[in-house]
Amino acid sequence: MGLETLLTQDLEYRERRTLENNHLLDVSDLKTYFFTKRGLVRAVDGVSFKINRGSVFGLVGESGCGKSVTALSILKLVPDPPGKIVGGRVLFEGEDLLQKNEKEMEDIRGGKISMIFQDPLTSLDPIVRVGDQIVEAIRAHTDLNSDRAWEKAVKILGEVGIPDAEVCAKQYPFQLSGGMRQRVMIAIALVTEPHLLIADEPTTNLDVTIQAQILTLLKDIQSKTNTSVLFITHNLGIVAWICNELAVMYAGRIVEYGSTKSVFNNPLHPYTTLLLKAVPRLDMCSKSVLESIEGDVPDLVNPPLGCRFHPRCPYAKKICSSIEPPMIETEEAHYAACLIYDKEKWGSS
Amino acid sequence: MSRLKDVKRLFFGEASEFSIIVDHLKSDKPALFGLGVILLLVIMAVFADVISPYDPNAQDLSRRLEPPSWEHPFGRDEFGRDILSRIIHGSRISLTVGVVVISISLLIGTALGALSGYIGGWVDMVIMRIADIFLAFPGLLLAIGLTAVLGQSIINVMAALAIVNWPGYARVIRSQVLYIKGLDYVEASRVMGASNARILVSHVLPNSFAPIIVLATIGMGWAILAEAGLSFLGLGVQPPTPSWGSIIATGRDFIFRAPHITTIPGIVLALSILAFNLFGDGLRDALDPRLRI
Repeated sequence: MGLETLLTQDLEYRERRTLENNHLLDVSDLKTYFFTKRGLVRAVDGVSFKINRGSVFGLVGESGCGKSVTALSILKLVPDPPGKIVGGRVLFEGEDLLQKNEKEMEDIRGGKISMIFQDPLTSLDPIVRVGDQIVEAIRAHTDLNSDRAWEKAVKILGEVGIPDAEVCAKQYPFQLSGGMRQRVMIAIALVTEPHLLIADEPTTNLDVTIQAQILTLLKDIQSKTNTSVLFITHNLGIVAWICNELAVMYAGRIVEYGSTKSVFNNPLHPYTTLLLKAVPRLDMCSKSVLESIEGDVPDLVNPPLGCRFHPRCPYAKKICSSIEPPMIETEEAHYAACLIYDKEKWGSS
Repeated sequence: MSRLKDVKRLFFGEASEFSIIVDHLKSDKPALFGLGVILLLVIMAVFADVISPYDPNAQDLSRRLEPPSWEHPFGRDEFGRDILSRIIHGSRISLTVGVVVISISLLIGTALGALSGYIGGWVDMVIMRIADIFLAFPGLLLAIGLTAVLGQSIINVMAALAIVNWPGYARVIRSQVLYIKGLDYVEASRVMGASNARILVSHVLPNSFAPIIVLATIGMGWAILAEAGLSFLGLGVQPPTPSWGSIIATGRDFIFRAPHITTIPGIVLALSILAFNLFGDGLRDALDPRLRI
């Protein structure tokens, strides 16, 4: 029961599809640093992952681990100053986004890559009618005249499950509920038929029933349009439900990477293992105590040397504080950045 | 009572922002008084030729300094001209100066303030230091200096007042833009591929305008007073064109023999400025959502 049950749902099918397709997005060795007065913050430090066409990729981690900065780096929207993408490559449909100029990026943003945000309450302009905000997105990327764009806006509002779309299009954001606003955000993001949708914690600020509705909506639309999704969240339950593959981030690095099934069934990195143990489950005995991970998230100005997780890791040895663990393929297409899986180094220490 | 109505309308979604503001103003008596006086002034200025009982420049030296009577409710000035007619015609100058000065200030202030706040960096630095320089001068003194240099004409008065006035608008707009450009919906529209120009014009500026509307209303009062001040000093409108400031100035020599020449236009001037301030205050309350619920 619990996570396993969620997992078995069409996971087999999703996995098969993942293998057949080629990569839509290929991020390799992405480094985004913030140059602050306190010092250099390595918010994203050598992150690599690939997203297949039509798949949902989860990027999981606690607050401040660099998930959102990774997403903003893909769109080249890291606030500069103080942020800067200092290295790496972001291949999208075979082209390196980091080499593109601002004009070319404006075409890609909202065109081929769209994004939905955490907080639907503040992500809509309060003094512009909902329909006009969708029209703006349409007209930025197509040649439709304003009447046709308005029709399209009303149509997409209906598709994201808003009853009485025509009335809604004429309303202002403050007249809509949080769930409705998130639907509008999704409508804006999808109206240009993007190839990649980045969803940055799209349900964090909604209550649980609305969360489920929004996630179901996202999943439906995803399977209908076969859009790839980069799903950023700290909620492991959502990941298990919606993602084909996932990467677990810790302090600016990816520590584990693989298909959802293999990561949940057989977590390799100690951090992932502990995270999964910290999730309450329906089949748990009511008296049992939830485990927590000792210690704090490291300060990214002064991250620990070697493996960044070692100060909190129950298995850590001396060697962990001196060697940065590489990504090691322990199972087929399942990687973990932990020295435990490097037999030579681990055994010799 | 009306507060409760607002809440209802907000939640049941049948009211626009605008109608909520109108509702608020309706229950604000001082603001309504202000609005009434402002409308009266506008009517006076527009229909001056029709309303005014006499030609404002027609002299009758045999009846100079005549006190108020039924025939001439505000009396006659030192050339025997009808003061009521002169005040009615003077409202044209006052309102024109107010509108033009505020428009120019708004234009310059909004453009520079928005650039300053949106671009930031050295552009912000340069624009704000220039604004600081203008703010460091006492406003009216700078205007006096400028009209003295540029020559005495109504155009120069307006130019001088606008030059003195724009930094205030620039500062307010800048701080609004700084705040709004960091909000999620601006980021969201950037993510959707909007260019900087588009974001600034269609999202940041419209959202920055509420405090500026209030500032501009109160600024109208200031501009009218400043014009009267400059005309009083003889730097503004030249005789015989009637202006409230110049009527007061000419009456100064006869303050004991014919006090109505100075006091009546003075009261009109004070009333007008009060009206703009009251209406501005009312607008501020109506536009501030924190005071609403």
